[in-house]
Amino acid sequence: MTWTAPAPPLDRDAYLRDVVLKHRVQQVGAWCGIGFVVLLFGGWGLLGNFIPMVPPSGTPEEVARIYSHHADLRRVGLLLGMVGIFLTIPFYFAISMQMRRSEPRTPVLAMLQFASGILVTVVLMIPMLLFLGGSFRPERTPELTQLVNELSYLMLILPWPPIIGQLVALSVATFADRRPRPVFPRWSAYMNLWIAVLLTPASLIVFFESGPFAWNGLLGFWIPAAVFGSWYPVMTWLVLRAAREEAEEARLLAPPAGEPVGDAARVPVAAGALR
Amino acid sequence: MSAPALHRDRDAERRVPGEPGIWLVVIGDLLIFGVLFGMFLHYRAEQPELFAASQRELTPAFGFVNTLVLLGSSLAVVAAVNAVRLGRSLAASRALLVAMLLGGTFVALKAVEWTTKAGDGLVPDTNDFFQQYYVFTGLHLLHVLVGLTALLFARRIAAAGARQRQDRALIQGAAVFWHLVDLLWLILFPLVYFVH
Repeated sequence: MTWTAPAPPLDRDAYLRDVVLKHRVQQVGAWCGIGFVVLLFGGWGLLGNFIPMVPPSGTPEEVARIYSHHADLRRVGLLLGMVGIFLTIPFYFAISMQMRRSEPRTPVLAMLQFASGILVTVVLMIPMLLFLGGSFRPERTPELTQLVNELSYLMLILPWPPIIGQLVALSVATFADRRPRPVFPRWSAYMNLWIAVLLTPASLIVFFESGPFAWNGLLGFWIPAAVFGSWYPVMTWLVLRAAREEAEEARLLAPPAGEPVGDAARVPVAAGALR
Repeated sequence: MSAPALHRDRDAERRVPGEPGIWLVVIGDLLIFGVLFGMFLHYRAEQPELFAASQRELTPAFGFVNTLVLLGSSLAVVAAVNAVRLGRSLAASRALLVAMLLGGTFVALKAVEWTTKAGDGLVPDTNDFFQQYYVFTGLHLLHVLVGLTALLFARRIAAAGARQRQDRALIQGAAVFWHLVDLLWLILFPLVYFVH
């Protein structure tokens, strides 16, 4: 199975236009990774003022009071966070578009990465909506606000397993890449595995209401959040680089002027570069 | 085929053991654990009596035996890397098996130690000391499990002959990670069990 439809005959100009278009699409996707980090930590974190965190040890009244301060500013920040979270979809897609170049046959790891990524987007989107739900009526019974706040933070910080799915698929693809010019550098595979291990301490937040392992603690939040947040700019850079190399390679395979390329099966090399 | 001499010449060209990427993991991990050890000392300074009293509840014999077990497994890994370099794949594979068995012993002893302590009512909720004791030894145990997986792959590569230079680099990378696991324990053990 491939991800391509049978290609119509392409002349040189149409081919090169397509190379540019596919390159642009992936460039935009790559920058979406930076956009996500900025909007999540800037919108939800700073503008929404959910960093510093509403403490897990706070009494219902304390939590409710925090939610009633600058309520509109919080809502705006959360909306921005919600927009940013959607940007992960084009970003994960750009990563898989590059991963598939390292898989000569069925791009199974690229699919696994993207499928896991969709789940990451979902478990980020839902807590953002829960935060918005909590911010909607801060004057309600304080215990209810506390409950929604707990659900929001737990769901935002805790669900690392789908991220592991992305990172492991990505590092296996990178380790297995035997192209003369690998799509992603080998050190990035080690980096991805290291990040995968460092995300798991987020599990501790379900056990502790205060201290370094709670959701406002060093190991419960700050270390996992820092490695999670830095993965995006690094991958943006690597995807931009890989997409540029892909476009360079595709240009070399362009059909000569005046000689339209027939169906994809007759020129597997050129078609492979486009796919 | 004069493979052994060939291997040694080619390996000598590289500047670092394994691949450069594994050192990213090593340095990153040392940084993170450095922060965690700093955190432990910070909490200890705040509650010196509680930390000293809790420390006496631990059984240093477990930690001591586990230190020897890990040192022994690191030695076996060194022997394996040397055997790979000399092209003796059977010896390498055997040494890696020994290292993995010792690593498994570490995990088993840790499980017994945890169960005993938890049976005595000493759980993460007991106080700040035990909270950190369980989390730090747990994080280290996670590293042991990752390291055992790496050794498992290294053994497969070694058993298959490890003829490519990249194969030998992967085995060295697994060895480097296993030494890191050992090194972290060598800091963790005295810090949690003994430092007053």
